[in-house]
Amino acid sequence: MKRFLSLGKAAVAMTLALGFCAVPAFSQGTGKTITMIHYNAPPEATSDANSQAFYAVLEKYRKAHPDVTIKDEFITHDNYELKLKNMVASNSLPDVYFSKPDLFPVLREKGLIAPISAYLNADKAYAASFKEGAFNDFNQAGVVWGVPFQLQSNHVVFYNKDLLKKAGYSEFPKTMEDFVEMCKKIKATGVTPIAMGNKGKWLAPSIILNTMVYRYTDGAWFDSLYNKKGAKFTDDAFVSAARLMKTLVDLGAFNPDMNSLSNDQQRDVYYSGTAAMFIEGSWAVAQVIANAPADVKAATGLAVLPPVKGKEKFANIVAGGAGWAVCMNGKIPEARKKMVLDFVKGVFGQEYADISASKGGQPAIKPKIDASKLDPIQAAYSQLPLIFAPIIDVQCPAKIVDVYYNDLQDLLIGKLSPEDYAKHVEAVNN
Amino acid sequence: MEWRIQKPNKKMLFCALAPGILIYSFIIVFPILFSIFYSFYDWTGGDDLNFIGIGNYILMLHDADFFLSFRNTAVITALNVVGQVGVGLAIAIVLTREYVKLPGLHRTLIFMPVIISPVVTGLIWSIVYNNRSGLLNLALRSLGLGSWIQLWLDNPDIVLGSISVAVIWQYIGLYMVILLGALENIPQSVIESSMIDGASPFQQAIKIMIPMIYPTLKVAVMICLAGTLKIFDHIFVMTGGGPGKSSMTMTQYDYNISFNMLRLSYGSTLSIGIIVIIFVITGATLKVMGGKRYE
Repeated sequence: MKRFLSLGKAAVAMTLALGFCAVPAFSQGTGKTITMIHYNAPPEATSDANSQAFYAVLEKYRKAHPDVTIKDEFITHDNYELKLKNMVASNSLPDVYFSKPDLFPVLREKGLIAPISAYLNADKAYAASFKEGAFNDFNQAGVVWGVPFQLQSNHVVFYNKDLLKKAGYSEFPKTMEDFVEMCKKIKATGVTPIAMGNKGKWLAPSIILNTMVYRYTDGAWFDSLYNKKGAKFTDDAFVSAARLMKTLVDLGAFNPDMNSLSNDQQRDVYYSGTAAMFIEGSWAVAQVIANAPADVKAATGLAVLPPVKGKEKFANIVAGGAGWAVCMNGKIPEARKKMVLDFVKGVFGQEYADISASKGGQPAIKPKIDASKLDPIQAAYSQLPLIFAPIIDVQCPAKIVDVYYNDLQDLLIGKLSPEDYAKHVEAVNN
Repeated sequence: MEWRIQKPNKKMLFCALAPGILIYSFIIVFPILFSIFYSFYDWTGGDDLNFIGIGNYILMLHDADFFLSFRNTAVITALNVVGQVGVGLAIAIVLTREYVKLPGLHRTLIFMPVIISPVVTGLIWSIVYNNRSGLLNLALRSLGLGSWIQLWLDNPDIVLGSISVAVIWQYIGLYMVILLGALENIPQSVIESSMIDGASPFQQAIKIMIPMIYPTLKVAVMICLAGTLKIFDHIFVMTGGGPGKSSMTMTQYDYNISFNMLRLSYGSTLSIGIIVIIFVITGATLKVMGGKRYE
């Protein structure tokens, strides 16, 4: 036994030694090497406007700065947050990374995020090139913590005018009541009213429910909720939105396999002409332009969920904003800071915005492109009179988001009532 | 020449054992010890640790979602032990019969899925179950069984069964091979004499074959039990625990808590809870199965 113990001790010592020597495979850069993680899929794999712009500008940046080595790692969007959180937990964040503001409090506490307000104040021209409100999502404790690269609506209804006509609608409904009625009529024609792909669990809450909430209230409600100034998830506005979702589910507005299709697959259902609508963020504009069959594309119109009767003042409010921020590691030493900052400004600058906009994207910087050359769908998007309100699941902490997502799926399959859903989310909010 | 086994001295013994113990400690023992350590803290990664005693354990005992995920795991495990070992045994017995042509081919084909990665299996079966273009619904439709068509992975009432079929399909070959090996070790003379005594094939299987391979069967049930209680990959790929929480297993829940919500210390507590549950269940099963001796 004694021998076994001493053997054990030796093993402990050696393992600890090994463990502490282990070097993370990917972490902060040194000298003239800048490390970065992002979720921009390679341009040959996607028609996403942000990806197209990112790689084009990155390539140029590399050529213009041969002395700087840029190591970038791509992680698929659905896995990106997990990887980021792992890197936070293991203290191996790279120099530059994308983050949503819900993680900022943790990053700030650990000193892993650098404030950028001072740089923005120092470079007025750069700061002024952004669209109005671009930095709103990233402002915490009076300081800006990240650079936005997009400013997009988290909610756009793409509808097929031909299929609406078949159900007797020559234009998109003007009230929510009429919208629900239209879904019933479309269903009667044998077509799925709304194609939904909620396998990732974020689509129904983030794209649809968020904006449904803003049919009953406005951004001030969320500010009050977020800052704990009285608003609750059990408030009428939120419960009414959950009830509206339930109404749509009960009348069969969505495809029955909604929880096993991805958001890419929901577009495929729409493209096939078997669904009259799909609802997604404005990033789908570029996807429809690039991938929809010609006849479906020609018939596609854009809208947002119409206002509820008596609540017309909330018309056109949608969840939206910058969403993801380009952040800099707070532990970058002073000597390297300027180089990294120049890199961020160089890549996510005017050129990025111009390319992204020309591919159907909605960049955070005002693009300088000829509006007449825009694709009709892109032009239709730019005419939507959108008013942005906070994206609930982008702002709220992760523990709320988890319930917000998972329990909504329970509501979608009829296992949870709207009232109980609201109670569950409020329970973790408290 | 006389060969003498030299008694190794302490140093040699240590050197020979060290690599194995080291690797084992590094990937098994220390993670568990660290998990126990972290389970007493409030920790979200990094350097800030906040001691909270057994707070996490109290939370776990009141966590309805953890019990739901335990229930789901129990259902999947029951289905899988019956499906993998039970059906595997039936196939193994049939394969020992003389009327089976090309037993080697059958064995190879049934074993093949075992070597596929669980993630790939999950993807394959997601495609099979796909509501629109999936193989299963397509087959049912072309056979005129349209009324049997189901939303295999979207219907919360059947999703655990659908997942189990995929897992059983993957591992049935493993238990078939283990049990076939045991069956082939039964002396032919025993089988023959039972035949002379007039035992039917069914009686042979129940009264002779199963009792004689009982120790192997016990091991197979144990492996299957321990393997299925910690099932993760298939479900992660096929449903992610959904729809809602209807296919959430203990490990999937632990994963969500640890990595989606970044509650790493509570996640560690759950892993310790899972280890205890697996120990208790396999221990109890061993006790029950060990009580009945045939040899």
